[in-house]
Amino acid sequence: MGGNHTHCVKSHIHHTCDSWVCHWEPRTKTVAAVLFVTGVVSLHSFYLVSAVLLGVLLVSFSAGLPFKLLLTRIILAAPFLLLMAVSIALGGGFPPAAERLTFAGLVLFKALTSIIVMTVLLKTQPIDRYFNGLAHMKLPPVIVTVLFLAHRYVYLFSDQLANTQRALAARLFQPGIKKRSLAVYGEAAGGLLLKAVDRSDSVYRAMAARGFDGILRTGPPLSIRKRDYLKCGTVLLVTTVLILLDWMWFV
Amino acid sequence: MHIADGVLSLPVVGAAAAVAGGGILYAVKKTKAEEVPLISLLSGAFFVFALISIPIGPTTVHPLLAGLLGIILGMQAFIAVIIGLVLHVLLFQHGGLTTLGVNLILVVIPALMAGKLFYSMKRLPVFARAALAGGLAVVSCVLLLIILLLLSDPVYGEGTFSTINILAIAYMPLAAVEALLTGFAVNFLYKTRPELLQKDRMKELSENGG
Repeated sequence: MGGNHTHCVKSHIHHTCDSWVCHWEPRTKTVAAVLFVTGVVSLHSFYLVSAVLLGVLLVSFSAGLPFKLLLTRIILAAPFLLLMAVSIALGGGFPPAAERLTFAGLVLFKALTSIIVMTVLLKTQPIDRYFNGLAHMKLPPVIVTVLFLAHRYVYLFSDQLANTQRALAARLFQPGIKKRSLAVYGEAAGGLLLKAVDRSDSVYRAMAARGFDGILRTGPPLSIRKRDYLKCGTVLLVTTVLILLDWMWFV
Repeated sequence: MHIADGVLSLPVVGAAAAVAGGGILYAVKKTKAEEVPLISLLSGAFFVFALISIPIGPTTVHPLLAGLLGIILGMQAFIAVIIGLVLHVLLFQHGGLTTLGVNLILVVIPALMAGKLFYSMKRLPVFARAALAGGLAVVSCVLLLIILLLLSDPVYGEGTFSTINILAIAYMPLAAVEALLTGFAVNFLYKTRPELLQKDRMKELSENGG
C-alpha cells in the first residue's frame, strides 16, 4: 500500500559532506537555486540547456553528491518526464519531426537540470538546518509553523501507513481496483484522517500549555558570510550570462 | 500533481504563482493559532495519502484525494497543499521550484470546487455526492492542466498521440478510482464522525479540540 515512498520518507537522511556547497548558508543557497532554475526555464536554446545540464552535473559532483543519489531522484521523476518527452516527440506521428525532438529534449533537460539543482540544494545540509533557514526567510509564521509540524507528522503517519499495510497483508488483502479493495483503501484513508483530527486535540493543548501563540520559535539562523554572498552572486551572474546568450542566439 | 520545472512556459508559471500566492495569503489571514496543529496534522496525513500506491495493470497510481481535501479543509487546503508540495520537493525532489504555484492551483482549485459541490447537493446520499466530488476534482484538475499546457505551447495539443490526449486517457481510470475512494473515505467519516462533514467544521473542530 505504501510501497517504496514510505521507505523513502523514513530513509531521508542527508548525505554527509564537507564540500563548498555544504558550507553554503541555506537562505542564500535557496535564493540562488530558485533564480537559477527560473533562468534555465526561460531558455530557448537546446544546446545551451544541454551545456547547463552538463554544468550542474559537474557542480553536483564537486558538491560531493554520490551519483547513485542523483540517479535515484531522476528515476523517481522518470515516468512523468518520459510521458511528457515521448508524447511531445511522437505526438505528430512517426518518424518524429526534428523540431518536436528538440522541444522534447529541451523540456526533458530543463526538468533534469532542476532535479539536480534541487538535490544539490537539499542534500547538502541536514534537513533541520535547512528548515531553520527557511523559517528566517520572511515567510508567514503560520506557513513556517505548519511546515515544521507537518514534517514531523509525515514520519508519524508513514509509520501508521506501514502498520496498516502489514495488518492488511496479514489479512490476505488483495491490492487492486476492485470495489472491495477501494473500500479498504478509502476507509484506511478515513481512519488516518480521524487519527489526525483526534491527535490535533492533545497536540494543541500541549502546545498551548507551553505558551504557543501561533508562532513557532526557531533557533537563530546561520549567519550569512561574505563567501555566501559571493557564491550567490556568482550563480546570479552565470544565470544572467545564460539569459543574454540565449537572447543573442534567438534574436 | 507534480509538474516538473521546464514543462510550462515562464509567463504561465508566473501567473499561476501570483494566483497561488494570493490564495495562500488569504488562507493565512483566515487561519487562527488554534487551527495550526489541525492543519499541520491534516497536511501530514494528506501527504501520506499520496504515498498509497494502487496497482493498475503493470503500473500503479497514487491517489490525489483533492475532493477529500476540499470537503474537509475548504480554504485551508491552500496551506495544507502548499506544505505537502514543499515536503514532496524537500523529501523526494518531486515537482519543481518554479512550478510550486502551478502544482498548488492544480490541486486546490479542483478541491475547492469539489467541496462546494459536496455541500450543495444535500439531497443525494453522502457516498454519491462524495464520489461525484472526488471524480470531478480529478477531471477538473486534468482540464486545468490541459489549459495550462496549451497556454504554454500549442505543441502539447498537436497530433493523435499528443501529451494532452495521453494525459486525458491516462487520468480517466484515476478519476473513477478517486471517485470511489473519496466516496468510501467520506462515507466512513460520516458514519464515525459526522461533525467533520459540517460547514464551518474547521472552526468547530478548533474550538472543541484544539
